Amino acid sequence: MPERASPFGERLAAGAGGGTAPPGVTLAWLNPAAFVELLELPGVPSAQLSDTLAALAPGAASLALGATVDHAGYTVGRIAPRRLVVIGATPLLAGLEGGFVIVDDSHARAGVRVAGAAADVLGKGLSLDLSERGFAVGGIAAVRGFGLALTLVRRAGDTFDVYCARSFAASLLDGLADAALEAGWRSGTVLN
Amino acid sequence: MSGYRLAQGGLIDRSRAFTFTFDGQRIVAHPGDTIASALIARGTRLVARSFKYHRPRGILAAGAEEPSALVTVRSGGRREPNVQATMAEAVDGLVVESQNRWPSLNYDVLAVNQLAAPVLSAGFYYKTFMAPGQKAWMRYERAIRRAAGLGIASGEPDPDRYEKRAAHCDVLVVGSGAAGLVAATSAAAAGLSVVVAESDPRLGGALNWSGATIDGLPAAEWAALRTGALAGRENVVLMPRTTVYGYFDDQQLGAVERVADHKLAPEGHEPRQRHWTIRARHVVLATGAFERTLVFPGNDLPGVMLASAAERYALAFGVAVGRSVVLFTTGDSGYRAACNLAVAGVAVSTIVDARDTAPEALAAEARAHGITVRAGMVVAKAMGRAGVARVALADTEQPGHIVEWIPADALLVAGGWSPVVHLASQSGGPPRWDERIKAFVPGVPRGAWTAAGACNGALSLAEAVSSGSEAGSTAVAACGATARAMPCPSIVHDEGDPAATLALFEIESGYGKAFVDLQNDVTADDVRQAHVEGYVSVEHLKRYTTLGMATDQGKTSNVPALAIMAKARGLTIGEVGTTRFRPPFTGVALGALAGREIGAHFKPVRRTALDDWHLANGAAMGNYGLWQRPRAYLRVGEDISAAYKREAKAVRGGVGLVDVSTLGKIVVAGPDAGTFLDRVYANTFSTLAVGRARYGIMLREDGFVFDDGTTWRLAEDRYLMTTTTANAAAVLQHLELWLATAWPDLRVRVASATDQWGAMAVAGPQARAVLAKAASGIDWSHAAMPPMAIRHGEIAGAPVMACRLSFSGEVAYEIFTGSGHALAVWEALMQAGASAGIVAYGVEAMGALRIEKGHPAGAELDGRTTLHDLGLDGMASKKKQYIGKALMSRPVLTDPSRKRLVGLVSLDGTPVRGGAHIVAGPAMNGQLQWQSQGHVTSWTWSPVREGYIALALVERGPERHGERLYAADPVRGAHTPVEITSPIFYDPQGVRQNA
Repeated sequence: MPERASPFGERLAAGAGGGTAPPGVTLAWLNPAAFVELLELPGVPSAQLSDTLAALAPGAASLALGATVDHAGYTVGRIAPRRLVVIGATPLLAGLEGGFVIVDDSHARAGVRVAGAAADVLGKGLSLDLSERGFAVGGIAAVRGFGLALTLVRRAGDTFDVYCARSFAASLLDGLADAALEAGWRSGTVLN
Repeated sequence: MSGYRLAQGGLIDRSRAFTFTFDGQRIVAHPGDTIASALIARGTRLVARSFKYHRPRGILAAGAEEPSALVTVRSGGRREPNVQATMAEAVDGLVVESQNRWPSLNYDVLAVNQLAAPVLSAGFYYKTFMAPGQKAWMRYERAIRRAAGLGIASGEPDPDRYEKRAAHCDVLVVGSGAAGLVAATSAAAAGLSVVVAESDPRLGGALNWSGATIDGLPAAEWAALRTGALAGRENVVLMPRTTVYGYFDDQQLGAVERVADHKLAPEGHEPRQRHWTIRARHVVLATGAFERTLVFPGNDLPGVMLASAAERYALAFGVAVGRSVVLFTTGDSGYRAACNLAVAGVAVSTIVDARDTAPEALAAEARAHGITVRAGMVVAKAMGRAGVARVALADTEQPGHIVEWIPADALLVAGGWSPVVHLASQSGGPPRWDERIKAFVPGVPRGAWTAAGACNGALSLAEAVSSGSEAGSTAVAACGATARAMPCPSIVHDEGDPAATLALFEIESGYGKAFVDLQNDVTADDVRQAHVEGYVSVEHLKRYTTLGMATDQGKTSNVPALAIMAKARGLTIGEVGTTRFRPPFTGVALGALAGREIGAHFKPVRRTALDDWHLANGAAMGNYGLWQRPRAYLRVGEDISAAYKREAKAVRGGVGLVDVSTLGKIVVAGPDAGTFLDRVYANTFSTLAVGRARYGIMLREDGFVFDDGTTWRLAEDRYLMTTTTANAAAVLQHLELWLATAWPDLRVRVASATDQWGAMAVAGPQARAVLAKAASGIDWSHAAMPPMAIRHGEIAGAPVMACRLSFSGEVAYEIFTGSGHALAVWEALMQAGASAGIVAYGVEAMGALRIEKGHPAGAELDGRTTLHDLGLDGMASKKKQYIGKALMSRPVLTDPSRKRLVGLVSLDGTPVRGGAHIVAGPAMNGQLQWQSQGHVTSWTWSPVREGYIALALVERGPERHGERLYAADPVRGAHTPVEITSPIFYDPQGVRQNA
C-alpha cells in the first residue's frame, strides 16, 4: 500500500516564517494511523455501550464531554453527545458494531501539532478559552477556528493538536502560519 | 502663541526630543507627549475646523472625550483620518494634517458657511431637501456629500496588519484609575483571572498627576507599585493602550489594542492594531468621568478648554495651556485644578465661580497662589479672533449684563462631571439621574457588571477607592471566589467635594452662538428649536439635531443639551432622560474589525487531494463554492474553450479521467438505514442489493426537487450516499434534522465522508481497458461488472472501491480510494491509459458530456423544479411514503403549463448562454416578443453535434419539440434562434454506456 500522501503537500515541509529566533511555535504534520468516529446508535442499552467502550479503552465509558483518555497508542475522546473519536494507532474496533456506527476518517482529516506559544497563536483564530483552566490538558473540542470546523486536542500546556477536514488543509496551514508570524514558526516534523 | 512647555514637570522624557509635522510645520515633542500636548507646547491653538460651519476649533480635552481636535495621521496607505489628537501619541517623523478645510487651516473657504448659519440650523437637510414631494436632495446630494464629513481616508491599500484575538477571564476591569486598580487587586488576590484594559499607555489614570497621597506615597508612585504588583501575577493581564469600545451580549466586550500606533510603522510582524474579543464572567466598569463644558457664547473658541484637561497637560505633559488663564467653574473641582496649575507654574489669574459663595478653604488656597476668586459671577462671553483673547464676566443672576472684561489667552471650564456611562448603557438599563452629582450614573445592569469609582458617581478619590474595593468584592463573589480582606488605602487629597456643583449648564447671556455639541456643531438654539418644532423625545432631539452622534456620542455635550431641553419642557433632567449610548465608545478602524479576514484569508478554500497534480498539469482552476476545481487543462496555445472541446472529444473517442472528489459523500449506517433512505428518497433503496448502486432523487417537504446522486449499498446496514458538490452540507443537515426531530428512534447515524474518499471517474470507450491494465482484483467485463455494480480491488497497491456508473453517456467507472492514496491511483490510471491517449478532463468538459446526455445537474435543480419538470416523475415510488410526496401533487406543481426540461440547438452557430430567456420569434413589426416562456439553464459546445446546445426549462416543453424560438440575452446582447429538442442529444437508448 502506498504511503498516505500529506494533505499539506509541500506546504508543511521544512520551513519557517516570521518572528525571531528561536521561533515561538513549531508546526508539525500529524499523521495518525487512524482517525475514527464512533456514533452511538439510538436504542442501544447504555450498559452495552459502556461495556463496549470499556473494552476499547479503560475509562472511555465514563468520559465526560470534552474529555479524552489515552490507551494503547490511541486517544479516545468524547467530542459531542453520542459521538466519540479515536485518534492514533489503529484501534481494535471489533465488537463495536452492535452499539456504534463506525466512520473511518483516517484519510479525511488533516492535522497539525502546534507547540510552543500555541495558545497565543490559536487565540488569533479561535474564540475558545485556551487557558489551562478553560481547556485542560487532555481536553478535546469541536470548535470553529480560522473559518473552519476544527477538532482540537490539548496534549500539553503548550501543545495542541488541530484537525480539520482534509480539503481545508491548505487554509488551516495558511491561517496558522499567518497567526504565528508575530511569534515566528518552524515546521518540518512529521508525527505519525 | 499661548501655550508653552513648562520648565519642569510632567511624565515626559525631557532628555530626548524629536519632531513631527503638523500641516508641514515641524513640532518638537518628547517621548510621552500626545500630538495635542506637543501642539499646545508649540503654542498652536487652531487645530481643526468644525463639521458644519467650519469654525476654528482648538483642543478642548486631554483624552477620549475630545470632540474637536480630530486630525489625519500618517500618509500613503497608512493614512488614518479622524484621529483624536488627544489620544494619539507623538511619534518621531509622524505626518499630521488638519482636516475639513481648504485650502488651509488658517484660510478655509467653507468658513463662509458661518454666514449661512441662520439657515443651516437644526433640521436643515430634512426641511430643505427631504420634504415630501421634493426632489432637491437628488439634485444636491453629490455636492453636499462632498462637503460633508471630516477626514478623508486613503484610497491606497493599508500595508499594515490588523489582527484579532480572543481573551477569556473571570474579571475584566475597564479603566485603571484608583477604583480600577483596587478592584483588580482584590480580584487578583482571590485567585481570579483578571484583565485590566487601559486606554492610556500608562496605567493609573488620573493618579499619575493628581498630586494626592495614598498610603503615604505620592499617588503616581502608589499606582506604579500597584501596577507592578499586578503585572507580576500570573493570573493578571495588563493591557495598556487598549480601549474597550463595546459591551455586547453574553458578557462579550470588544476592545482595540493600539499595538504599534505609537510607532511610525509596526516592527517585524507585529500588527498595527489588535482587536480583542473579551469574554468575562464579571466586568468592573471603572471608566471614570468626563468633565463637562459650559454653554456660553464663544465657548468653542480655540483656547477654551476643560479645566481638568489643562491640569493634566501641566502635570502629565509639562505644558502650560496659556500665559494668562481664567478658570470658570460651577463647583469645587475647578479650585483644585487652578491650584495644581499654579503649583506647576501656570499663570492662573482668576477663578470665576458661578456660585454665590466660594468654598472657604479652597478659595484661600487659591488666593495664596495669587489667584483672584470671583464668586457669584459667570462668563457671559469669550471673545477673540484666532482664539480666546478676553472674557466677559457678568453676575450669575444677570448673565446678559457684562460687568467686566478680563484679558485671557486660555479659558478653562469646570462644569461638573459626567460619569462615563457608555459601556454601562450598552449593557444595562437607561442611565439614572443622580441629583447629588448633577449627572447620569449607570442604570440597572443587564449584564454581569459593577460600576466603580467616578463611573458610578464616586467622584472624590476617597470615594473612588472605596467604590473600587466594593466592586472588587462584588466581582469576586460573582465568580464564586472568596475575597481576601485587604486594608483600605489611606487617602490624603484636598480636593473639596467634586460633587458639589451648581446645576448650571448654560449661561443665557444672549451674546451669540453658544455650542452644546462641538463635534456636530449643535448650538443651544438648535436644541430649543427642535423643541419648538415638536421634538420632545431625547431620541428625536438627537436625530433631528445630530446631537451626540458619530464618534463623540455626547461625551461632553449630553448633559448640557438635556438640561436645555428639560428647561424648555418644564421638566427635570432626570425626567427628560438620556439616549442609549451606542458602541463604539471611540472610533474603531475598519482594519481592526476586518483583522486578517482579508485577501486570501477572507474565506477558506477546499482543495481535492489531486490539487497539486492539477496545477502542475496546466489546469485552469475555478471556484465552485469553496472548492477549487480544474475547469480544463490548457495546452500550449489553448484557451479554456478549446481545451474543454478537445477533452470532451477525447472522452467520446477514447478515454478520459476526471476528479470528482468534490461530490458530497455521506455515510448512512445502522440497522434502519434502508428504511431511512426510503423516506428521504423518492425512489426505493431498502431493496437495493449489497454491492449495487442506484441513482436517487430527494425532494424537499414542499415537493420540489432537492438533490440527486447515486447511493451505494456497501453492507446490509451501511450505505454511502453521494450528493451534488453544492448541496453536500445541506443534504447532511437535512438528514440530521429529520433524524433528530422526526425519527429519533430510527437506528441510523449519518456522517460526512466527503473528505475521506478521493474520487475519480474513468470514462470513454477505452475505460475498461485502462482499468484492466491498472487495477487488480476486479473483473471489469460487462458480465462481471454490469452497470451500477460495485467492486473492490487495488490500484497502485491502494485499496479502491469502483462503481460502474456513467453521467457522460460512455462506459464509465467511478473509482473511490482513500484521499491520501488518490494521487497514487490517479497517476497509475494516467500511466495505464497513456497508450490509449487518456486525457485528464475538467468541469467544463464534464458539463458538456452530461448536457449531451440530458442529465439534470445544479442549474436544473434550482429549488424551483419538480420531478415532473425534469422528466423524472417515473422514478417516484407509488408504493411508499417519502419526504415531499404529500405536496408534490399540488395543482401548482402539476400544472401542464409549467416549465419543463428540453434541449435547445443553436440554429446560427452562436452560443446559447445560461440565463437567456426563451421568447417567441419576431412579431409582425419585426421586433422580438419579450414575453418569457422559459430560460436556459446549462449550455455547451457539443462535440457530437459540433455546435452549441443547451438545456432549458420551457413552458410545456416536451410538447414543443421541433418548435423554433429565440434565446434572448439582452444583458449580453445576444439573441440566438434555437430549436426545441429532446434534452437527450446523445445515445438516447444508452447503448454506449451499457456496452
